[in-house]
Amino acid sequence: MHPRVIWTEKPSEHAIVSWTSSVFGTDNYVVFGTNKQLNKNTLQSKSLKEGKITMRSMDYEEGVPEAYYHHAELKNLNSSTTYYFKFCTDNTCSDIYYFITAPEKDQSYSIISGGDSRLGGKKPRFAGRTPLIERQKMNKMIAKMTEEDPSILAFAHGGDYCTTADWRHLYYWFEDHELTITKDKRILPLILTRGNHEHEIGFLENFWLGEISNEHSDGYFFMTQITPTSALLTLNTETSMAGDQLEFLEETLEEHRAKNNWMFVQYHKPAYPAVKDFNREDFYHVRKYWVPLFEKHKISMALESDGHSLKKTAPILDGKIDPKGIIYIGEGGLGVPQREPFPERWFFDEESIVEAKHHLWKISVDDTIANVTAFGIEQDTLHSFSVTSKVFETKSEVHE
Amino acid sequence: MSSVNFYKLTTIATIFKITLVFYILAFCLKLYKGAVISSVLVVENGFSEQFSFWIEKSIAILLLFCLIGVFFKSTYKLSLWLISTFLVLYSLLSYANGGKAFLELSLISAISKWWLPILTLISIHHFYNRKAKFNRWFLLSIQFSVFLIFLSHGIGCFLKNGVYIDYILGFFRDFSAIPMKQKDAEQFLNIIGVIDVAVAVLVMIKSSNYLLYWLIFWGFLTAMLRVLDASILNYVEFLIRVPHFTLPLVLLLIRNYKNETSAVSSKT
Repeated sequence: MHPRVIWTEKPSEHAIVSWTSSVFGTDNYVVFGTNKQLNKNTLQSKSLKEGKITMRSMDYEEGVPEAYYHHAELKNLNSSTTYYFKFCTDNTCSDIYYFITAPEKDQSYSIISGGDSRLGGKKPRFAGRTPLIERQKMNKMIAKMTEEDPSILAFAHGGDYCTTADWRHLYYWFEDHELTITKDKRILPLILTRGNHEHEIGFLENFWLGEISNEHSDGYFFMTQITPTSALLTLNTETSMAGDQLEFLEETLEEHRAKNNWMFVQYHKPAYPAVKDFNREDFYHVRKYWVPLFEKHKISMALESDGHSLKKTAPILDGKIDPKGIIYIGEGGLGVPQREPFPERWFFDEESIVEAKHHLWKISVDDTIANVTAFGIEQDTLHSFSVTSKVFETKSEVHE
Repeated sequence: MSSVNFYKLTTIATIFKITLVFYILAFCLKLYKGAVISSVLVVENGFSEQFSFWIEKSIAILLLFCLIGVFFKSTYKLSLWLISTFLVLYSLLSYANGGKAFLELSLISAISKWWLPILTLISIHHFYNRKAKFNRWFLLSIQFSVFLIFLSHGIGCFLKNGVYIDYILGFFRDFSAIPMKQKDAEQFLNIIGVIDVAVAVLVMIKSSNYLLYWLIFWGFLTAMLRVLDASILNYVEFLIRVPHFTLPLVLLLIRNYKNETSAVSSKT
């Protein structure tokens, strides 16, 4: 149960398949291949990381079943290829699902972005005792959009999946996440961000990034090369922002920014919050440590969560509204009850959107232009705008 | 009672009152800006945001009235019991709501201030009744508060709390020319952690003036780091940590008072 596909750094050739089982079993593995029936030329990948999901007394009280996590790495995949897979515990296997790897050549693509999928639904809201209506609706919408638009490659989640990463909450998140699977069993790969509600051991157990090549894998910050000239940087606001992660950010932008027409960045806590106190130290730290590098390297757009509202800022550069600046979108609306934002804050202008509405963002990236649309819970268009790719040249290239 | 003793009693009661005022003001400011209560009411229980903010602001106003009540003989007891009840409930609610790193350590740190209003109550009671001598449990309670504060910080250092790492890195970056890497900051945190745990244990078993000077200095410095690192606008985080240096200060005053009293007794 709970199948999911995780993308990390090189989604054109690598993916992680994760699932939950009700018995531990002696042999847990994924069977995968390009053949729909998985009856010829199949490969197997053993579950590399697995174990019993930590249960606290509150989890038992809520009545969620004991379960086991499994993660298998699929390596040396072909780009732009449909891979079918099933996961097995001993000889009992799941249905056959599929996902599509990222392209090796430049092409137009879309990603879905959004955060804050905890709770929602009738009041009082208890995971498992109350249908999580808004989250389920958003997930069904993701499945529908994926069916309608084959250009959608992945789902970048901005963090705060549930109230805690304990099993009584994560269990229902996984149950609801299955609603993002299309009717023909396509799973949209997840690009994971760690939020402030993911400090429990359950997050590490159930969301594994595999043996990704940088030394900071346990820090949940990495760069996903979506196409050869388009990348998404995932940062972690829940660990040190000024240490290794800052070095990683600086080195990655130095090395990769010039090669990528598009460099998006996602993280949980906002630099420019629409709802919460602007002066909070965690938001201040994002602005103090990361934003100068975003601006120096002219990142394409920043995707933020945490506030529980819909927002798009004016372009911001050096602490002021500037047409050459960076637009910050998001704030989290994948099911969590929405809060009233503060549209009077200086970083919003007449072209901004600041509303308390459930939403997700679809970012459709072309060669030089990206169309960005916020969809409401009824798949209604809430806001739409375009950004053009910012040419970035390293100093040496400028001198040449 | 001698005028010297009365002066010291006044000083201790005043320090407790000032500590509590700053500490509770920090909560009032948090509640005013939107805190865990509204988050739980809106997100988990489906109340409207307007109602939830109204509840938080009402609690903030009630707390302010309680703070005023602390300064009057007829109301200080009720006020302080109400504040204490608030502190217990608020910290448990914060713990249940999650959404924070090192939640257990935050809870331990919050628990260390649960009886701060009761200590204030006792000190004011002594002041009004001109009772110069505090009993053993009073002293032990302050020591235990300091123990929990420094212990939770020490464990946070061993666990490489990312915020602590950023304070160290930010401090060296902003106030020195010495570049520091995360691994150096982590080593530094290990040393701080050992010191924090050691002083936490020592304050319970063998207190000394030098130890208390250190606790006052370190408590003040770590509280100030919140402002030095993230600008004066982060003053709420400083206010909430005022007990970290005023409680050792009270211990120091009581200790010196006891020493002076025994010196006077031996002379006579």
